[in-house]
Order: sequence, then C-alpha cells, then structure tokens
Amino acid sequence: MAARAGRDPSPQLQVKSVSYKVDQEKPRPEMDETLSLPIPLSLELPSEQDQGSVRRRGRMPQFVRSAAPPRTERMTVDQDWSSVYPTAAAFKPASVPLPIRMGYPVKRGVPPPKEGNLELIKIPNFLHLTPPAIKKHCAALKDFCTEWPSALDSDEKCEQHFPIEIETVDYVSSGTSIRNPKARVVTLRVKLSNLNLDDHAKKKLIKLVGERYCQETDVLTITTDRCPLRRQNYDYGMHLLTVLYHESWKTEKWESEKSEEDMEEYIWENSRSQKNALDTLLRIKASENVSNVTEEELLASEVVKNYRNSVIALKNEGETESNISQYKESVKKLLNIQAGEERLCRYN
Amino acid sequence: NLCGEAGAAQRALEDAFLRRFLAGTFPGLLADEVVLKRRGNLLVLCALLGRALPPHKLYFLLGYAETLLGTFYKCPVRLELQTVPARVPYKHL
Repeated sequence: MAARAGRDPSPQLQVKSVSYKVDQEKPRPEMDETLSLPIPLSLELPSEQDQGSVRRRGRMPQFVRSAAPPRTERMTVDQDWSSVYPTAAAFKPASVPLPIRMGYPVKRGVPPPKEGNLELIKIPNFLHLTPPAIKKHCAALKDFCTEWPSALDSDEKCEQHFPIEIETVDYVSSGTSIRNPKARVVTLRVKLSNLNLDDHAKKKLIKLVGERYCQETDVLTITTDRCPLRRQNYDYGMHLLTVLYHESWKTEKWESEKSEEDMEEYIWENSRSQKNALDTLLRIKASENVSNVTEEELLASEVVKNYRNSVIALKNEGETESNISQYKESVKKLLNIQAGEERLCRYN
Repeated sequence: NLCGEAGAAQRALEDAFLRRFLAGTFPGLLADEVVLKRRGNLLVLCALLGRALPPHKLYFLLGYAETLLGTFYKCPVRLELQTVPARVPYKHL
C-alpha cells in the first residue's frame, strides 16, 4: 500500500481539479527546490515507456512536476550573503550559485554535480560564516562585552595578581542530556614562588605533595574529582592548598630526626667528604711538620672552599664536563699536586 | 562522534526510528537516504524527495514531522527538504 500511495487514479482528473495559491515572491528558506509553481501549470507525464519502467520499480512517483527555476538565477553579484545563509544549514544547491561537484567521478568523467548530491549535504559547510557575517556577529556581541582591565597587560602581572590557576572542562555532546560525569574534575595550579614559604616550609611542602610538584617549572598541581559536584571539588582543592600551606610552616618534634637519606640536596657541612678532606689535610700538615693549624682555619682556606663547591656541584647537578674539570682542579690545588708531579706519581 | 562517550546507543536507536518515521511520512517520495545531523541538542534531518506531491501537502508533512518529533524527543527538530526531478544514482557501475 505504501508503495502505491503516490499514485493518483487518473491523469485527467488531476489536471482539472488542481489549483495552487502559492506566494511566489519569497520562497520559504526550508523548502528550497522551488515548490512554488509558476502559472501556467504544466505537468510532465512520463511517456508510456517510462511509466512502464516506473511501474515495474514501483517506488518512484508517477508524476514529475516541473519546478520553478532555482533561486540562483535571480541572485545578484552584490547580494547580502548572510541573509541567504543566516544560520548553519544544510547545503541547498538551488541557493548556492557555485558550480560545485563532489563525489567519486563517473568513469572517464567528472564528479557528480551539486543537484541531489548527498555528499554535499552530509558534510558540514561554513557558508554561514563568511567574513562579513562574522563581522556582523562581532558587532552585535560588542555591546555585551567589557574591556580587559588595562592594569593586566602582561603575563607576569596576571600571575602576580592571580597566582592560582583553576582549570575546569565543560563537555558538549550531541544528545538531549547536558550532564557528563567528567565535568566535575577541577585542577588547581600554583607556583611555589608565589607562596610565602621559607626554606624548611618549602622542603616540607614538597615532601608532603610528592608527585604533584614539578621541579622544572616550580608548579604545584592539585587535581580533585572525589566530590560529585564541581563547586565541591573546587572548595576541596582550595582547602587542600590551605592545609598544606599551614602544615608546612609548623615543625613537628619528630622532624628533628631527619637523617642524611631524607635530605633533598647535598649539604657539605658535616658530611663524609668534609671529614675526609679535613683528615687528609691535617695529616699532610702533620707530616710536613707545620705548626698545628686548626680546623676552622682549614675550612676557611680557599682550597678547601673550592673543593667544597666542586663536590656540591657534582652531587647536586650531576656529572658534566665543567663540573668534573672543576673538581679535578680543586683536588689538585687541595693536595698541592702540580702537573709534573702528577706524571711522576703515575709512573711510580 | 560518540566514541567513548555515553549516549551512543540512544542516538543509534533514535536514528533507526527517525529513518522509519520519515520513510512512512513521505511514502514513496524519498529519493535517497535521509541525512541525520545533530548539533548539540538540535536534530537536523535532510531529505531528498521526489516531486509527486503538491507543495502545500509537503509543507504540511514538514510541519507535522517537525512538531511530532520535537514533542517526542524533547529537542528542537529541523527538517530540510529538497526535491529532485529524478533519483540521482551515486555511482554508475
């Protein structure tokens, strides 16, 4: 039944009873391919042969109406394009005066033309976003915008006044629901140099947060998603930051038991390297029978200071060419070895 | 593209229903598959029709389909129709 619904009983009756009152001035934008028919009415009846083939297929309509010429033929060159495509809409071949072809080319031929081309309808088009249209959008939106505060004209000033960066993500998907559980995640980022921390507080804070601190950029990142709402996660993140800050300033009793393994960086004072160096120097002085020099004098002497700096550089920064050569120089000066003597020692 | 997102199954079900609905609303007129697009909440249906029906009937069917589907799916529905004189074959073999 559905296949035959397009058929009318007899052609003659159809012609006599029809009458159309259609507004010819402005074709409705949705109904593009000219359903407004011009007068006189003309119905093209397919020939007997066509009718036979159509009947065999059983799906195509029996009558093919002639359509009015497409709107493109009435378009002037200097028309206002933003009124042809005011919003995002599908591609309408009778409204776009461009000879576009799209699709897989016919054998030894060209891609199919734009009329009835499903490929052109499928793809998203930006015919509603021409530069003049965008200018109109901006002009309309300008009334709702406020100026950027003139005092914040550089990144440093922004960071100085607003040290904490909050990052939240909103999700839009094609569907009737705006809820997305991923939208509750909140990320806080703050540079530790903007916080008021002394040496002990900074080290304690870094130990407390562990992986969330990045050494190279000096940025602490806190990501919270344990609460169901974004506002709650933001409050929790700020609470965490406050607690960390205050706790790092307090000193607990058991912190005095911090041993050498817990230290973040190498400290030369009271280390094995210092003891070894002082021991060796004292023994050298004793063997040369020089009057007793005290440890403080040795520590204050330049050779020992050089040695200290080179050892600290090696341990903290790792081994580089300059570090190792600096260490070599300082050791040579410390032990008073000259280049020639060094060769002698080796051959011995 | 709803890969990894929620709601993909519901959209697929809606697509199937929409194709059947339009095939029934425009019986024998659909020249090609209906192109369904979603822009956020908005549902855009692009259909290519043959020219058997007079325009006032087509306009009526357009409004009928839009309002019915809109109340059904609780989202704005826009139907963009085009008529072609004959079915355009996609690929000649």
